[in-house]
Amino acid sequence: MSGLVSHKSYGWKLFEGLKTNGALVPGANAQALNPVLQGARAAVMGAVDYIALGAREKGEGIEVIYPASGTVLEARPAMILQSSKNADNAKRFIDYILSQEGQALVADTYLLPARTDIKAKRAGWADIKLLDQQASSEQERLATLQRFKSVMGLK
Amino acid sequence: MERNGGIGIIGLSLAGLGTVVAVPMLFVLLQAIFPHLGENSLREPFGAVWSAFADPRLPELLANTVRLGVCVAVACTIVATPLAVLRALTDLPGKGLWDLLFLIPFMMPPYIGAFAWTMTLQPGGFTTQIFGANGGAFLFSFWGIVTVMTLHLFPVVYFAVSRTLAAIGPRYIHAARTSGAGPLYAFWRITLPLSLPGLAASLLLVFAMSIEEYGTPATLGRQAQYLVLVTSIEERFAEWPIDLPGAAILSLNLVLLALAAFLLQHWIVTRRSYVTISGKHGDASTTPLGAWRWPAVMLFALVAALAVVIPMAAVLITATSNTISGGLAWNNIGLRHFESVLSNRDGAMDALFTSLWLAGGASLGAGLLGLLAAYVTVRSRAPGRGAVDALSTLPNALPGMVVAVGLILAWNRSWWPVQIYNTSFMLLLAYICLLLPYPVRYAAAGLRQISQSLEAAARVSGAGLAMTIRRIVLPMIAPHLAVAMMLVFAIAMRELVASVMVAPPGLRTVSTYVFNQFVQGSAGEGMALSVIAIFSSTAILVAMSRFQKNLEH
Repeated sequence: MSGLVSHKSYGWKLFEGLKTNGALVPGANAQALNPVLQGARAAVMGAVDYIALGAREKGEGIEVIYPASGTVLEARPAMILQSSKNADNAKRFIDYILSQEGQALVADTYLLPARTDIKAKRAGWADIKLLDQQASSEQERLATLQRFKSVMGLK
Repeated sequence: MERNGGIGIIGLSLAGLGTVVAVPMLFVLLQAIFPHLGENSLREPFGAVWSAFADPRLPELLANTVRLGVCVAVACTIVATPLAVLRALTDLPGKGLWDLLFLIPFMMPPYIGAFAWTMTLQPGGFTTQIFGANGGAFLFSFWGIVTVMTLHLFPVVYFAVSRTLAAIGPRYIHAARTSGAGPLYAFWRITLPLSLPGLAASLLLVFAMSIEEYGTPATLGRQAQYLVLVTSIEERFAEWPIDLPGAAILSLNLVLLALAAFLLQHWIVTRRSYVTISGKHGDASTTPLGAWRWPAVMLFALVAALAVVIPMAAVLITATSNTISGGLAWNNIGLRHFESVLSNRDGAMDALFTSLWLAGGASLGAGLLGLLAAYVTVRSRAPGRGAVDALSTLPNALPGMVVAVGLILAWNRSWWPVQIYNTSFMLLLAYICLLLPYPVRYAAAGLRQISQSLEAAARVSGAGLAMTIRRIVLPMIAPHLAVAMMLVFAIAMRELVASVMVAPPGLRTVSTYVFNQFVQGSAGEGMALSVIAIFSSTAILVAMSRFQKNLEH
């Protein structure tokens, strides 16, 4: 979200426009997707694409569209705590996630593998135009969250 | 009670109750007072309390919660009272059938009802596909939430009031009619006042159950923008930035509301000023309905359709539809979701077995602790009895969300010598705490019926306290305890809120699996597992009650 609002061609007017068009913030992924599958809603914006792709694979009538003007990537971080008592095993686990085998498992869930040499079962790194994203401070994130809530009329 | 054995049993009960009830509640309190408890620091006591109470959202959350509870209670009265009056005082056909049908909402967890209504009423849902009309605007509103919760909870009032009325019987009415009162006047002046305590007590129970309900506000409330205490507590745990002191303070507010409702209900039930059962039982004659017979049946059928048939049908249709977007079509029917669930591809069967053993464990644990606590409360006069009584009564007023918050705050500490955080033991503790009141109540009722002379005789003959309990008390109250343990099993099988909060990563119960499928995965698989779980837990309960009846014969 902060990636979208900080971008000059989107900004807050994107979300204000969505709100004007009657967008809702219904909750978690499938909670947002189910109304679309039944036809109650036209689309989910910013849907976690792998769930929609998995549903389509099972025969649901749904398409995933990546905006040609660019979109943002939501990374799934994996990290080791500095205070970890099991640093060696944690490291080996991270190595496994990043290995061929681990990344193949990631690809099987229709997520985008972090490694470009593993074939994605979906639109890959080359097919999606990504917007630049800058890291933001906690204060900035809180402010963005507050503004998002007020723009979307959330309490 | 023998002194050493007595102290032993009180100590044992207190240790059990302390772990299950006192520790989590203590930590809610500590976290509310000391905002930096998570860093093992007691600095800035009361630092978060003032800001929490200054939070402009708190009055709104409290008002929303109370308003929901009151409206559901009033709606339950409107739906259930006429039904209960017809059931108890008239010659309504099919009484047994209606009782059975109105038990089904108890077996179906409320969040499944909310989900079933979503699939039915939202635009494009089943009513759109069949009639071309939808009720989405109504469902995702405050009154939609009230309606779904009322359809789940009205049986509480229905059963309580119809039993109260049946116990009163028509004798007093006959007396009034003989003295010249008209039928409506007699109902207004005799039947209604006499059934008020039963009605009031069940309404307070509905109020308490509504303010602690999580599934329905969580599924419908987001779109309705209707936040209550329970959903806000969950948000403070689940959404960044995490706010533990805020969650603890909201929890205290919720406990106080629930406690007030419970104490008021307890006061009404135990006043005993409305004695109508006096040895001479009311005759069983009922008022003939005459021409009103079929309209009355239609009313029952309408309520049964709304509360049972439609939600059950929506669950079954979702479970047997290959895709949601395929809608209601013959070629969309298939057992794919059942096949997926039974083949354990997504861990669905693991979730079922986890729930089965956790519910079994909870019923054993709660049964044992409930027996000890009830024995101490009923039989002992030793110091510590009051604490046992209080601690075993308190869970009556504890919402599942608060117990979960307490368990997390208590056990997510690195300094405990035994680490149970992130293990299934957390779930077991939560279930035992929440469901303890059932075995305590049933075992205490059983104990009060057993004359103390039997135990005295055993003691005179040289049996110790442990042996007396094992050989005399336990066999005699076993039927009571067994019923309570079955209730514990049934409720633990479908417990959602504590399970969502404290289940360790990777461990799923039936309810968290179903709920997760609904919010993150495939609704069809979620519904398929709920169908399997509802049938298998009902089958187990039926088998257990058969077994129990065989034992008694």
